[in-house]
Amino acid sequence: MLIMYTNISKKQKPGAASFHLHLNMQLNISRYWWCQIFGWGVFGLANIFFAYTYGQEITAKMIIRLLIVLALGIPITHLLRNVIIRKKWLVLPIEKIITRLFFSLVTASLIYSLCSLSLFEWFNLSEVNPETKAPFIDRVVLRTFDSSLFLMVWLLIYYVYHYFQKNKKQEVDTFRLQSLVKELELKTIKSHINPHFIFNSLNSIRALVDENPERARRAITELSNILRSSMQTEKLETVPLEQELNIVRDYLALEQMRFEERLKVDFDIDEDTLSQPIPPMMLQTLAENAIKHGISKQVNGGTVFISSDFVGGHHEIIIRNSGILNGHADHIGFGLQSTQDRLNLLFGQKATFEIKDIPGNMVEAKVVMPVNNMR
Amino acid sequence: MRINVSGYWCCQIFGWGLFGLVNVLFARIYGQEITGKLITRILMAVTVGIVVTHLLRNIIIERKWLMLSAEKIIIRLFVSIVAAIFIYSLSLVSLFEWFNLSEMNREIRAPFISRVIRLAFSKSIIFIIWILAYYAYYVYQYFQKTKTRGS
Repeated sequence: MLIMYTNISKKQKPGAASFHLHLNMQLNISRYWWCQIFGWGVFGLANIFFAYTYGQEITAKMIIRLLIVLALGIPITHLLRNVIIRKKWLVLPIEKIITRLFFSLVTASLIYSLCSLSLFEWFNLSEVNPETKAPFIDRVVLRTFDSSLFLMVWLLIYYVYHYFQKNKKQEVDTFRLQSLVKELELKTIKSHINPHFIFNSLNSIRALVDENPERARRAITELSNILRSSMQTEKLETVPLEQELNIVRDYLALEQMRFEERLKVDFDIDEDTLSQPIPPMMLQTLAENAIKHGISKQVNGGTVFISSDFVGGHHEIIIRNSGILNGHADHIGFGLQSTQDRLNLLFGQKATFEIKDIPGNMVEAKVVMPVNNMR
Repeated sequence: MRINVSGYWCCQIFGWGLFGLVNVLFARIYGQEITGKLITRILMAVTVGIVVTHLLRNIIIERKWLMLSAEKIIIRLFVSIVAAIFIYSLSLVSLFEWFNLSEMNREIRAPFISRVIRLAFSKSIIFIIWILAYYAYYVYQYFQKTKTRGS
């Protein structure tokens, strides 16, 4: 039945929310009633067990008394629940809940004992000699005390269950919110990268327009290829390295037109790493950084070297370029900062990123990411 | 997670104090004479009750049962509460014997073990209320904490 309802709710879009609400209410009610029946059933059985243990005879009158107690207990606790829900006592702070629950507990216990004792009298169900029987009011007081203990257990179970459910729901909500924040952060960073990249690429093409219009046209075609790829990856958290390398190759081809002989490009890619996931536009940002801060500042130009390999159970990407950091390793620009942030968001502590000077007038940017075996 | 210690002790003293008073009240309503032995028995019941429930609380905190899932908690709490009730009844009946606090004639008195079992049955509801109140307070505190963290 439940499976059938779920299938229907998936197909029916209009009114789906109200249907779900109705379904939830149905489930809650049935669970509540199961608990009521189970709880009061245990109470009835425990009474018979106690009577037996204390050597009391199990008579028809006793069973009828017990049935009356159960038949009254269920509606009284159900009314108590209705009062709690209607007056919204479940959302009150504990100081306010305690006083309200105390008075409602006393009232419910009094009504419970009054009704049950009156019925016992009415149907003459008592097995005690009428002459030795305590006055009616004394019996009501004693029974009120007795009932209050059981109703207190009922109330406590009800509150524990309620807060337990609420805690679970709150934890799920918090988790969902955290995922949403993470997703939004990633989208924000990506949306910053694209204008940054377009601006620099257009600058490169502008330099070519006067020098070589034919190549500038080709460059525009290449840029449009890059933009198309980047738009396709906009919605993705990661892309395969191969796809990212295509963008980088196009980008470096664009830059080579501008730098001509001053820019040399070298790749050393392990083919097995081509399917490894990396953040989209990350490699392009690092390549762009190598050109902008490295090659362009060298009078004689230099080399950009890109490698990808598995090292020590990790996927390692290295981008080396001619130049020096000028002691600014601590103060990294937006592109590098966003690389660091995106790696943190995607892989947490499992990924590292560092940029440093290495011997031979070179700067090395190294990204280490966890290996994805789901290929 | 610990419930505020002073708050916990206030609740313990208030709860067990109420239990003692209700016992005296019941004795009066049933027409039982309020003797020195009765008061001593009630005081012992209150003291042993506080000690046993405090030990139960220590076990719950040390073993981190409050952090477990509902199914795991229910089984552990059920077993521990049964053990606590029997320890309580056994200690109390032994103390009554030791200090000769019973007002019943030795010859008509039920055997020791059946008195322990009867006391355990009659006081089980008190322990159930204690554990439920403790757990209700914990889940309420936890809810308040996560609500503040979430907002």
